Amino acid sequence: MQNQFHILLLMIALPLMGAALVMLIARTGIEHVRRMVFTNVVLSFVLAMIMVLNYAPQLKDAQNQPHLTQMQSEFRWLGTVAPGGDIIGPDIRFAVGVDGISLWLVALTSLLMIPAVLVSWEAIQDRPAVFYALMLMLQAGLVGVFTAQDVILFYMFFEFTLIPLFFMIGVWGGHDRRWAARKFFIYTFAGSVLTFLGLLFIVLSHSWMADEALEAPQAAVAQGPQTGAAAARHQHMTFSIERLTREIPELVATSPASSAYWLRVSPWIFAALFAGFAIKVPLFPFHTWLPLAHVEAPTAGSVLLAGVLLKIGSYGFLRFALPLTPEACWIWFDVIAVLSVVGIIYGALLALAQDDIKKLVAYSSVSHMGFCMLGLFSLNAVGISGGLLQMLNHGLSTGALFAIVGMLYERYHTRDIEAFGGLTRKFPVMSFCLLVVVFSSIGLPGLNGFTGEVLSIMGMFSIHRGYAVFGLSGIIVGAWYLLWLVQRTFFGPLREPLAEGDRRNSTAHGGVVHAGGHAVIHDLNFREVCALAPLLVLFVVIGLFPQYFLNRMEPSVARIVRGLENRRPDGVHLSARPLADRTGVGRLARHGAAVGPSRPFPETASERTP
Amino acid sequence: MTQTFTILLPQTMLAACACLLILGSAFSVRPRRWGGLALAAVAASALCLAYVSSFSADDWAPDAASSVLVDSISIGYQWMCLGLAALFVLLSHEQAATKTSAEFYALLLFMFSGMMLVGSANELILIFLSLELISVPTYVLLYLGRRDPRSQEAALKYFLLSVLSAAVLLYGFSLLYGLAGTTNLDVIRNILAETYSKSDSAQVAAGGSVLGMVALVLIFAGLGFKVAAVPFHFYAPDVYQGTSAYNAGLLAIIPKAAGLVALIRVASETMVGFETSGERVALILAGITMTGGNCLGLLQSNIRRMLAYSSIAHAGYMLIGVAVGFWDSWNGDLSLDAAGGLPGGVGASLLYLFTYSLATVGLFGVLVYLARPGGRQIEHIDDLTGLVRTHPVMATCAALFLFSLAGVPPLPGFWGKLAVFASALSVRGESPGLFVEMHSGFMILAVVGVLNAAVGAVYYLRVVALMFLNDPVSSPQPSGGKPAFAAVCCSAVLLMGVGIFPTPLFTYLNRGVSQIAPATVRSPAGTLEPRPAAIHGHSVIAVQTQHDR
Repeated sequence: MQNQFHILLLMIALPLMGAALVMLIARTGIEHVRRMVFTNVVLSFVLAMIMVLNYAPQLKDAQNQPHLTQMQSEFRWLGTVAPGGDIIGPDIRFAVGVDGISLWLVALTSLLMIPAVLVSWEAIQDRPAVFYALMLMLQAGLVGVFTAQDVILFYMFFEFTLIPLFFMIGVWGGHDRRWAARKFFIYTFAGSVLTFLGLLFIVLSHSWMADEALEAPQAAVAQGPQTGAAAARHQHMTFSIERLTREIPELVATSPASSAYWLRVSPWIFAALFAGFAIKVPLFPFHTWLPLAHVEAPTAGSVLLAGVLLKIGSYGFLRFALPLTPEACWIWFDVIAVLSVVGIIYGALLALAQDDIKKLVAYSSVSHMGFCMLGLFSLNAVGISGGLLQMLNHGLSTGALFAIVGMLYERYHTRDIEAFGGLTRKFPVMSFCLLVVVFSSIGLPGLNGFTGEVLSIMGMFSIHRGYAVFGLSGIIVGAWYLLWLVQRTFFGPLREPLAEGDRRNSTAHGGVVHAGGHAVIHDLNFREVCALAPLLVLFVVIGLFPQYFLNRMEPSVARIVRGLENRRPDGVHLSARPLADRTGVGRLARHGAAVGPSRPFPETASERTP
Repeated sequence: MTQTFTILLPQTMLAACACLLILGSAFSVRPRRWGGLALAAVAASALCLAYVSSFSADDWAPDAASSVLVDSISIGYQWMCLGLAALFVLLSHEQAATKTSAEFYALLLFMFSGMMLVGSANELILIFLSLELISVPTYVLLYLGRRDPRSQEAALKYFLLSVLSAAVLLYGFSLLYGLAGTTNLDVIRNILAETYSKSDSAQVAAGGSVLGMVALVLIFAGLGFKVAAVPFHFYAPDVYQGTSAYNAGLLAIIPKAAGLVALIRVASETMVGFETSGERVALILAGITMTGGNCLGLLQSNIRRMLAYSSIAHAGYMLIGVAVGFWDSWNGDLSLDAAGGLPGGVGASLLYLFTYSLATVGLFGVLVYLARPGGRQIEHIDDLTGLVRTHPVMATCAALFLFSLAGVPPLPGFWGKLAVFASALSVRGESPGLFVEMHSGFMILAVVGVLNAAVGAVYYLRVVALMFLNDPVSSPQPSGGKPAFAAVCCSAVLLMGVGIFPTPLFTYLNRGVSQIAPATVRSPAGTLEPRPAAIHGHSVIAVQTQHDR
């Protein structure tokens, strides 16, 4: 569907206009500002819903090829067209579009903005207009990252998201906010500049390979005297992600020289991409910025950081590394898998050891994103779909967890696990919400977490049993630390820290009041329930009807998997293949159409010829 | 004859106005008036430049032995100079409100006239003269009206080292003259191209003749001082710290721009056949300049000293483009210009220079505009603490400039870095098995470069964090006057504009660089053919052209 009204541009422009408007009406009072922002965010969400409903996964184009990137809008940005039709300057475009992968991430961004705005309703008292303006800018940047169809545009939004978040953490954050903001910025920036180099190199390599493909037949035909005159016309280099993902595999497949060249450089390109994306995810040794940034950020910042920003990293792998450097993915498979598994277990163990609730949730992010990477790098359809679904699930459940932690903090101004106990009696609604979120997060069947984790692990199991088994153990530890957290804080005898007012009056009792305490602190109010309700509903929806979500991903994932299978280097033999063949999971995976374990695949029957 | 005068009209106009200002200083006029006159001079020069650039390429009579040239690079560069001149005149509003106001503006105009002359020079002697036209007023300006020992030390240091570097540069030029027998750049280029196309490629691979290599190294040393490349940078931190923010701003931009353009004209575009050694020198210089500048910048607490190291580091990025320029001039058909799209080495370097100048003039403008409560200028980074509460506009502008220098998109600094790194990655060779063999030196340089960008971000971000995330301890006073405020805002708006819509810039460069850059294109047969000469005016400074030897 070619949209007439540029829905994606609208989704980027709306928050930006909102940000400008917020700054303009800042003087008219905090109430106006909040309402304006909330309206803006809800409107964005409505647009996102329209986008999701309009996306047609099975759409074919004129040549009966799957038409995956839809709702495109494209404008020439750099480079002008000369009278002769030549383009002068780099052909960088402002091009946006969604496919089955970015669709859900855009929707996730728009959804999570609602709780993010609602949880900052009372919490942000200092210059709220600026805070909300930054938040809306962040939203625009995030939608831009996920929809960009141009390499440079992608990188621009990728970096642009740092600036609002830097100020959000640095100005409205906790005690150690300044250092957290700087560390966050510098870490991410350092990685992303290397990614930038990798992206540039992909663009240049594509133009060289295209030139080579143009020149090769000419050189073969015209060995005669006219070669001097017929210097091959240079291919104008392209920055379009769609063209790159389509043409590079074609060029590599047709020309042996290009193939050899690409086999040689793609591991390096992968390494460059890895630098930025792995820090963003974060994979195991690069995760140290994350707990600090999460803990110090204001609640809305944490929600968006954990919910959406981390997904940029895994999205980057899915958008660039897997389709463009498939050889390198096979070569780097072991490294990524080991780092993911270590991240899963190490993150879980660290979470177990925390006494700050927010830190615990932050480390659980490291662990859960490990599942996501494990799924993506199983390099088959089951695993990639699982990884993608896990990205959504993690965004929803960790976002909700951070929101609840924020609500608790707003009430008591502490996040110390030891200070709490038996809160169920006092906050029945909050404890219900927390329990649902925790069960979703540890992967209880029937809720969303289960599907994602199972698919990820299953995908990995079909190509390497060892990593899958280690990954599974992470689920167990995950259940342990989360349930233990709930047990310590929400069950048992009531223990409450002194609220702000009480602490000022008396510093006795070691700062902790037993049984009784204060009547001023209420359960979740309507606003807070509204913030959590959409997430809770979605947990159940994804848990019960994952196929709706998987169907929309399927064609886009299948295309990536086909590319990966075609360019699998000969030397790569993964140990679990015989078993996978026996169980049939591997067969599903290899035929590239398999998504989800519970559905028969018509393609597999016809393709199962020796 | 008349053609040369026409080409040099903008520079002549500035210099003539400067002379008038000096004459006029005999009369007592209110100091602030002189600023208006200087601005009028800049405007007059801009009119002249508009006249010069209204000619199309075919309107100029071709002349291969002219001492001046006009091409799209020189035109674009001169427009940049005039824009900077206007900004600097505006910034000087309070700076120049003394008895020596007229002299101050005269010197300023001389400097900019020299800066513009470098862009039009096609002749070793003219290049040297224009560089001196920048240096000599700088010496005076550094002394003018400043009596404390700190600034005198700075001025003396700059003077001595500048003279030394001029001598080294002149020695390099004379060796180049000895090699080619002429001082005209086009003729030198043709002679070298002929020589090295006839000799076997082994000598080219080895880096050219020894005499030429020595000349190349000396030229790099002499001009390295101007652009503040690392082993020749020692003056910069002391001088920037010792002098006023205004003078430091001038030093950070004018000699650097002029030195870079001279380096491109004399070395990367002219010395064909020396690209192996040229690349090597420029590569090493670029690497150590970036790394040295950025790493030392991390340690600074004086704001001008920090900006000195920042300006050193940015010289390193520009030198990447110079290094690629050598390769481009030998492999014209493989360069990025030819591929259509991003600018090649020379273009990238100039684009970087433009983005750097825009952000730097604004940043020094902020320092000129603000002063500490006592009226003294801002020294320590901490003086800017919490600036967003006391001067929100200035703080926002400063943050924009700093982010641009760090290379955060969508600000111009990012486009500069994009062009520079793309050009570095485009350097490649051909090997038997693979059709592309990457040049390992340039690959390493690109990686070092982007990592340096991350290191640079650390200290830029420190300033931003201080301004935005902390509460103010003292409140700086606005001391620069309204014109300075306007100049800072103007450069911030321009910065945003260029960042969001850099299209004209890239289009201009893509059309421009391909017009002049490679003097020689390698035909498929492997011989070098001289390119049709660029557009030139008649020779006015009588120089023997000996290309018939």
